[in-house]
Amino acid sequence: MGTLIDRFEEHEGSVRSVDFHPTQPLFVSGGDDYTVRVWSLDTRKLLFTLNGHLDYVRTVFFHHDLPWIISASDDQTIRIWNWQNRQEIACLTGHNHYVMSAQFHPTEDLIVSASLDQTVRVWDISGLRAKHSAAPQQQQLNQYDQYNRNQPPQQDIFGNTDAVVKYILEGHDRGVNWASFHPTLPLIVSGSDDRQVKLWRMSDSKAWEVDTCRGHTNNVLSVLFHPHEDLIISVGEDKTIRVWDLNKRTIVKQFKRENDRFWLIASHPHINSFAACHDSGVMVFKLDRERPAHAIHGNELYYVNKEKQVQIFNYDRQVSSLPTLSLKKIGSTWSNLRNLSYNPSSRSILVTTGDQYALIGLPKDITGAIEPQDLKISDGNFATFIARNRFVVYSKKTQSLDVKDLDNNTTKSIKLDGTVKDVVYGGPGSVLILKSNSVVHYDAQQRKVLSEIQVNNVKYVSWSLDGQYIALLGKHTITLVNKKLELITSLHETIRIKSAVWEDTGVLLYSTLNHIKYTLLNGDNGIIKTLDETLYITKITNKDVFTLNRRGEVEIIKIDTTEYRFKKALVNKNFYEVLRLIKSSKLVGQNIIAYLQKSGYPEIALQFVQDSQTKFELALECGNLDVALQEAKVLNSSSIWGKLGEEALRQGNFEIVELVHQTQHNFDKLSFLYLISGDFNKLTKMESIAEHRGDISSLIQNTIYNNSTAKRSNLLANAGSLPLAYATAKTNGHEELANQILEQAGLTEDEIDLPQSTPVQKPIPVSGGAVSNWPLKPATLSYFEKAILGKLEDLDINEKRYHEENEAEEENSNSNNFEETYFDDGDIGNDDGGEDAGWDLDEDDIDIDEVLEEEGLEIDESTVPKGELNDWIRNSKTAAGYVAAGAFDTAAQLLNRQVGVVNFEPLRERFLQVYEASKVTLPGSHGLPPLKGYIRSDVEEDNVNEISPFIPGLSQISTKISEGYTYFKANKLEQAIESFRQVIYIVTVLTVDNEEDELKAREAITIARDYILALLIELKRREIGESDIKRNLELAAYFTRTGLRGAHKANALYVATSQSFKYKNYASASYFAKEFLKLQSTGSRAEQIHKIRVRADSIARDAIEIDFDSDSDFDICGSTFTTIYKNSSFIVDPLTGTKYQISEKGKLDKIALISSIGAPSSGLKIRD
Amino acid sequence: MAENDGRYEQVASSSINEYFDDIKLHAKDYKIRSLIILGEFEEASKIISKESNQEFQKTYQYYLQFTQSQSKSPINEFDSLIETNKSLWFIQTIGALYLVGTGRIDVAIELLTNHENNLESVLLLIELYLFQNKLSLAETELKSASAYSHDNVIYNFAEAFINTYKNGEDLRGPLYFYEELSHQYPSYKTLLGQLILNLQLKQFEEADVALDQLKQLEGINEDLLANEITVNAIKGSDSTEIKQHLENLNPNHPVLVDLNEKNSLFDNIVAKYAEQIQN
Repeated sequence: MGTLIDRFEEHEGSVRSVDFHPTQPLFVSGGDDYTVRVWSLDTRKLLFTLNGHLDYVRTVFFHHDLPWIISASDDQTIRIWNWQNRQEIACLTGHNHYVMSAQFHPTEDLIVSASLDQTVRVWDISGLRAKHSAAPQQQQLNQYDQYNRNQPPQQDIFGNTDAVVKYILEGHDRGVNWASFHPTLPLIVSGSDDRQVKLWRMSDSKAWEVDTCRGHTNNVLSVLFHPHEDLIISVGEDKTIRVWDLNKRTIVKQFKRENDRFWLIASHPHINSFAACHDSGVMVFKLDRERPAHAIHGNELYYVNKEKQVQIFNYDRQVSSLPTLSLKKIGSTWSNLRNLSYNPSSRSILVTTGDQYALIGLPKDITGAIEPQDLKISDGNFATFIARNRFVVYSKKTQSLDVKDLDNNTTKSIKLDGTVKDVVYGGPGSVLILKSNSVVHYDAQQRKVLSEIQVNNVKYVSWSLDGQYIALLGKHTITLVNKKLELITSLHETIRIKSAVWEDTGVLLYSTLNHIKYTLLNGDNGIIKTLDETLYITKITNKDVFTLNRRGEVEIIKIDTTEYRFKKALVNKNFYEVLRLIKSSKLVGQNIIAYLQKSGYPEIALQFVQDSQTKFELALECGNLDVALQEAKVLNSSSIWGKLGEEALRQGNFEIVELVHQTQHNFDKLSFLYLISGDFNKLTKMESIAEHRGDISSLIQNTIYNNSTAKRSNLLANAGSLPLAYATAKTNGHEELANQILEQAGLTEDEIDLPQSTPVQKPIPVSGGAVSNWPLKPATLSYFEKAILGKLEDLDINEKRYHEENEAEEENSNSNNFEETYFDDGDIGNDDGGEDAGWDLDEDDIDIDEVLEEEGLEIDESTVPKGELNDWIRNSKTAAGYVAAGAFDTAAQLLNRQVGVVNFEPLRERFLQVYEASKVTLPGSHGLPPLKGYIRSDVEEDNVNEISPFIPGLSQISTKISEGYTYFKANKLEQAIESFRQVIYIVTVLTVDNEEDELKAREAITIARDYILALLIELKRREIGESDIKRNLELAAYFTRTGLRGAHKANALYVATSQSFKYKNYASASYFAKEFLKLQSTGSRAEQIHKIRVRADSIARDAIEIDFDSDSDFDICGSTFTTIYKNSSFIVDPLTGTKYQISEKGKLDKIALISSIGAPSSGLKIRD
Repeated sequence: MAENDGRYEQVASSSINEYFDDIKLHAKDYKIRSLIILGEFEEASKIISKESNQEFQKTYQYYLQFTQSQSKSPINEFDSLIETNKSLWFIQTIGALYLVGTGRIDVAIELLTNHENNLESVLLLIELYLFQNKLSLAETELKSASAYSHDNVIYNFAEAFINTYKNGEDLRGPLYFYEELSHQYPSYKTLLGQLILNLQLKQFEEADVALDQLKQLEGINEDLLANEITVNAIKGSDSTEIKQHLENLNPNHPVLVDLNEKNSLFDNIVAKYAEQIQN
C-alpha cells in the first residue's frame, strides 16, 4: 500500500526524472523547465536549483559516493554538478541529438549515455575525479587508475581532459532512449525506438554488441539489469514490461497494461522489487513470489531452497539435511514454486507452480539433489493433500475441484462457484477454499460446505497445533477464527503481513515485512522483534523462532517471549505465572505499564515504574496514598499536591489533606478542614495565624468557625463596621464591648433596633473530640504486591517446595537424578578401589569365557516359533534378548554362566515383563486369530536380520533407585531393600545400546548393592537390640562404612554417634560426631551431635571394645557382616560384586538373593 | 468397508435393498457376518433362510451352526460343500474362517489360494500367511492384488498388516492409515491399530493418547486387555488385574495362552537350578 508522504511543486512543466541520494536525506529532480533541483527530505523543501541546461532535462542521477549529480538534456549535453558547492563541474558534449539518459557506473569512473543520435556512449571521467578529489584513497586505486597514472591523460579536441568519450556504441537504427550498466559485469543494456533491446559488452580497450532482444512492439523507453539475477527488464510504449534471460536473450515473462504506456523502470537497492512508471501512475512489483514453498510435518520442515531443491530441516536437532530432490524441471526456470504439501504416509510431496502441480515421491535416503524418480505433472492451479491417499486439485479453467488418488487418477470432481483464490488443507478430508470475500470450509469427501466466514482477500492460513484455531492472513489483516470459522478477533496491520504461526499456548506470532509480532486471542498485540529482512515463520519453540528467509534458508531467531507470556498470563488470570515473570524477567517500558494500567492492574504497574510523575499517577489510580505522598514530595508542584489532596480527602485521610494544605498554604481550606474535623485547637491556631498575617477576611472566617465573638466584634469595630460589630457583641452578650461600640458610634442603646436572635453556638464535635483519619477498612495488599514486597513468605516457600518436588519427580523420571548421584559421590571410587581391580580381572577372562560359552550353550529353540523371534535369538548377545524372544532356557543358561544366577524365582516378574513388553496384538479380520506384532529396539533398522527386541526398564532404574531413597528416608528399610533389589533384577535382564547407558546400569547395581548391604546391617543391628551391645555397636560402626551417599551417610553416622554415646563409647562417639559434622554442619541434628561431641570429648574413652578400626580401610562381608581388611582373603559375588568371607563360598548372595557366591563367571553382558 | 474397520452395528442395521443386485450378495455377506459377530444369530438366520442362492444359503447356515456350537468340531457336510465349490468367493472366505476355527489353517490357506481377485479372500490369505510368519508369501499376494485394487480399504488393511511386520519407515504408513480411520470411525479395531503402531514406533506418549481413547469406547475388548499388558510391561507397572480380567473373558486368548506357557517354562527353570542353591 503506497501512502502519499508529501508533494513537491516547484518545477514548471513536466518532471522527467528523480533520484534519491543513497545515504543523505536528499533527492534530485530534473524537468522541462531546464533546471535540476535538489530537495531536502528532512525539511521537505527545495534546497537549491542548478541552472545551466538549455533545454528539457531528461534524467538526473546522484553519484554513488562523490557529491556529484549527472544530468542529461535535450540540449545535447551531459552535465555533472557538485551538489555540495552547487557548481557545474563538467559539461560533456559529443552527442548530436537529445541525450535521453546518462548514468554513472556503480563502481568505476564511467558514464553511459543514450541519445536520439542513435548512439550509446561510454565516457571516462577519471580525469574529473583526479581534478576534484585531492588524493584518491588507496583502495580506489584499481587497475584502471594505475593505467591512467602511467599514461598522460587523454584529451578531447578542445584539450578537455575531464571527461572523454571512451566508446561509441552504434547499432540501433533509431534514437536510443536508455542505457544502463550491469552492476558487476562489464555489460551495458540499451533500449531504443527501433523497438529493440541491445546487450553490449566492453573490455579495457573496446566495446561491442553482444545480442539483441526482439519482442517489444513499440519504442523501448527504459531498460535495466536485474540487481542480482541474470535478467534484463525493459518497458516501453507497447504497454508491456518484459523480462529477458540475460544469457539466452529470450523472453522469460511479460506483463501488459491495457491502456498505459510504460515510461521508466527502476529497481530497489535492497529489496527485491521494482517500480515502473506509466501514463497514469507508478506500479511497484516483484518478479516472483519470494516465500519459499514449505510444509511442516511433525518435527520436520520440508522446504524448497533457492536452487529449487527440497531440503528437510529437523527442528529438534536444528539442522538441515542435504538437498534431497531437485525440482528444476518443474515449472519454468525463472518461476519459484508456490506451494508444497507433504504426505507422510506415502512420503511424497505435492508442489504447485501456479498453473501446474507435480506429485513426487521423496527419495528414501538423502544422497544429494537427485532428479525425481516418480514424477507426475498435470495442469491445475492449486493442489494440496487432504488425506493419506487423497489430494485435491483446483483448476481455474474448469472451476472444478478434483479429488485424486496417489496415482493421479481423479476419483471425484466437484464444481465450485465463484472465483477461487486458493485452496488449502482444512483438516482430514476437507479443504479451506479462499475466495475474494469469504473463506469456505468444504468437505471434499462428502461434498458439503461445513462452514463459511466473510473475510476479504485471505491469502494464507495458519492452523493452531491443536487444530482449534485458524489464523486467516490477508495482506493487511489477520482474522482469528475457531475451527468452525466463527470470528474471534481481527486486527489490521499497515505493513504487509507475511506469515503467522501459532505458539503452543494459543498465541499467534506473525511476521510482517520487517517485524515479528504477536497477538493474543483477545486481540492484544505487540512487536517482539524488528527484522532486517523479511522472514517467514514456520515454527516456534520456547524462545526460538524458526523462519525461512527469501534465499530459501532456515534462520533461527531468538526472541524474548516475556511480554506476551506476561500479557497472556494476566488475561488468563494466571497470577502465579505473572508473579514468576515479574520476578524472573526484566519487564519494563512504557508499553507494559500502559498495558497494565489499561487492563486494570495499576498496582502491578506501580512495581515497574521509576519515573515519579507516572508513579504518582498510578499510585493515585490504585489509591495508594503513601506512595503518592512520597512522590508528591519529590515532584512538589501545586497541581500534584492538589490532586493528592483531593484523593486524600476522598479517602478521608485528614493527615495528608492537612499536610497538603499546609504545604500549599491553603489557609481557608485548612481552617475548614479543622472545623469539619472538630479540631478546635488548631482552629484557634489558624485564627492567630490569620491575625498574624493580617488577613482580615480570613480572620473573620476563623472567628466564625471558632465562635470567637468578642474578637470578631472588635475586628468589625476596628474595620469601621460598627453596626455589625455592635450586633455581634450585643447578641453574644458582650455588653461591655457593645457599650464601647455604642460610645464610639455616638449612639445609645435605645436608638438601635436589634432583631431578636439567639447567639450561634460553637459547633460541638459529634465524636466528642478532634477526628483524625477517617477509619477505612484496612486495604489488603493484592497478591502481586505481597509477592513483590516479599510478604508472601509462606506462599513462596510452598511454591518452591512444590516446585522442587516437581523437579525431583522430573529428575527421577528422566534419570538425571541418578546421573547426579553417579557423578557427585567422590567416595564411590575409593570404596570400590579393590573391587574395580577384581572386575578388571574378570574382564580379562571374558574373551576366553565367551568362546567357551558359545560352544557350550545349548540353545533350545523348540519353544520359540519361527520368524521374528527367531531373528531376535540370532541377533541377541544378551540374556535379555533371549528372554524377549521367549528362549527363557537359553537366557537362564547365560545368566548362570555370566553371573552365577541359580535362584531364578525372584527374576520371574522381570522375565515376563521383558517378554511382554515387546509383543503387541493386532486384531485382524473377525474370526481369525489376532496378528502378532513386535516392538524392536531400533525403529530405524530396516534390515530384518539386524533387528533386536525392545527391552524395557532403563528409565525404570532411576525411578526404582529414588523409590529406594525415599523408603530409606522414611525409615522403611525392608521396602527400600526390595526397591534396590528390583534395580539389580532389571539390570540383570537388560539390553542397552550405548556406553553411557551401560555405565549407568552398572553403576546402578553398585548403588543398589551398597544400600542393600547397609540396610541389611542396620536391620541386623535393630534385631540384636540390647541383647548384644558389642555387636550392636560394631554394626552401627560398619553401617557408616557402607557406600551410602551424602545425607544418607549422615544418617548412619548419626545412628553410630548416638548409639556409641548411649553405651558410653565416648571416643567412638566423638569420632562419628566429627565425621557427621563434616557432612552436616548446620541444622538441629548437627547441634545435637555437636553437644554430644563436646560431652564425649571430655571423657574420650570407650567402655566397650569393638572390632572397628576407624583408621583403616576395610570391607564388610555381605552375609556375616564382619570386616574384611585389606590383604585378607575374600570371595566375590559374580553379580553384585559384594565381598564375602571365604566361608560363604557357594552360598546364595545375600544382596540380590539370586546368584551363587564365588561361582565361576564371565561377567554380565548387557550391551548388544 | 464398515465391516472392516469394526463398525459392525452399522452394517448389521443397514438395509440390503439399498444395494444393486450384483453386489447384493456381498452386502448380505457383510450383514450376516456382522450379525454373527454381534451374536444376533436369529436375525442372521432369518436373512439366510430367505436367500435363493443354494450354495450361499448352505454356506452361511453351516457357518452359523459352527459358530454357535460349543465343540468347534468340523461339520462334514460343510467340508464337502467347500471341497466342491472352491471357486466361489463366499465359500472361500466363510470356509476359511470355518477351517481356521477348526484349527486347519493350512487347508484354509489352500482354499483361499483359489481366489480370483477377490479382495476379501486376499485379505484373509495374507493374514494367515502372516500368522504363519510367511512374510514374503504375503507380500507377493499383496503385490498381485495391487494390480487391480490398491485403493480399496480392504487392500489398505492387508497392506497395513504386512507393514506392521516390518520395521523402520514401513511402520509409518500403517500408523497414518489407522490414524485416519480412527479419526473418522473410532472403533476398537482402528484405535488398537493406532495404539499398536505407536508402540512399535516407540511413540509412547501418542500411544497413551490412543489408549485413553480406547478406554472411552463402550464394551470390553480382549485385544485391548492383551495390549494393556504390553503397555504395563513397558512402563514397569503391574498387570495382575488385567490378566485376571482377560482370563475371565477368554481363557483361550492367544496372549494368555502364551504367557501361561512362558510361566510354566519359567517354573522348569526355577526347578532346574534349584539344586544349585545353598543358603
